Amino acid sequence: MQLQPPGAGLPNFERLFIKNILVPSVRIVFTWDIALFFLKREISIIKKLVSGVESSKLQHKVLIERTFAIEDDTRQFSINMVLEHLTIAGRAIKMVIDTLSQEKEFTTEIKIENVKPHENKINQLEEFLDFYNSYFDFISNLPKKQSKTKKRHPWFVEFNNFDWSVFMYMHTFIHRRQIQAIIKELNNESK
Amino acid sequence: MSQNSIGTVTRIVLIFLSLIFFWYFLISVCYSGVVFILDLEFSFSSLNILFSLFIVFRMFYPKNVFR
Repeated sequence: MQLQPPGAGLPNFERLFIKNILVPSVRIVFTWDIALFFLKREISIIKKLVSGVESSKLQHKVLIERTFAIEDDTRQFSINMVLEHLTIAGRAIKMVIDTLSQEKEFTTEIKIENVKPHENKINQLEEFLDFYNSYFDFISNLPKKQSKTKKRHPWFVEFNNFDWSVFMYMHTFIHRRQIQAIIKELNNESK
Repeated sequence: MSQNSIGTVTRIVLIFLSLIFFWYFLISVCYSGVVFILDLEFSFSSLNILFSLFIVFRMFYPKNVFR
């Protein structure tokens, strides 16, 4: 089956729903601490999910049905590839938040293609958890002031440092759902 | 739409509802405190107005959510 290439984007309806409804709503009901609380919850769910999968299956790519807010090419990932993507994207988001918090321009262009996984290596969970622990410390120690400086997300609108911190949670949540779909497919394959 | 997508959207709605409830609860606690201290009459319509004002306030501060 031919999947669309990386960077093809989301279906228009999903993109517009997120841009015009989800993003404004998130800004109203979320705070820095709520986003961090939910993100920590997601990481503990992912840890539990991945720990329950045989290590030999973590690098196995399976084709899943499209899940909400993921690109078409992402449908054929292994669990470790999702963790790798979350780590790469997470590092980039952390850099963006850090730069915007200092009211500096983040000049590097953000491209979806650049945060795709490319290794599918063993022990990705360890690297993933290490990164997220460093991110939790980073956000906990960050002065909770919304920056005036912004950086545009390629699919949506201009985000300030706070928006990116909430995006970090939403993005992790979306990919946790993808991991659940992969696990379901892996279980179907072994039946 | 796949079952997984429906589940994801449902969870998003539930998260929003839980956060709306969280803010409503927080405002009702503050309002009840004021009612108790000033010996006023508790009114749900006043609480709902306060909550609506809070939502409008959050729409524009600390940032305009529509930008």
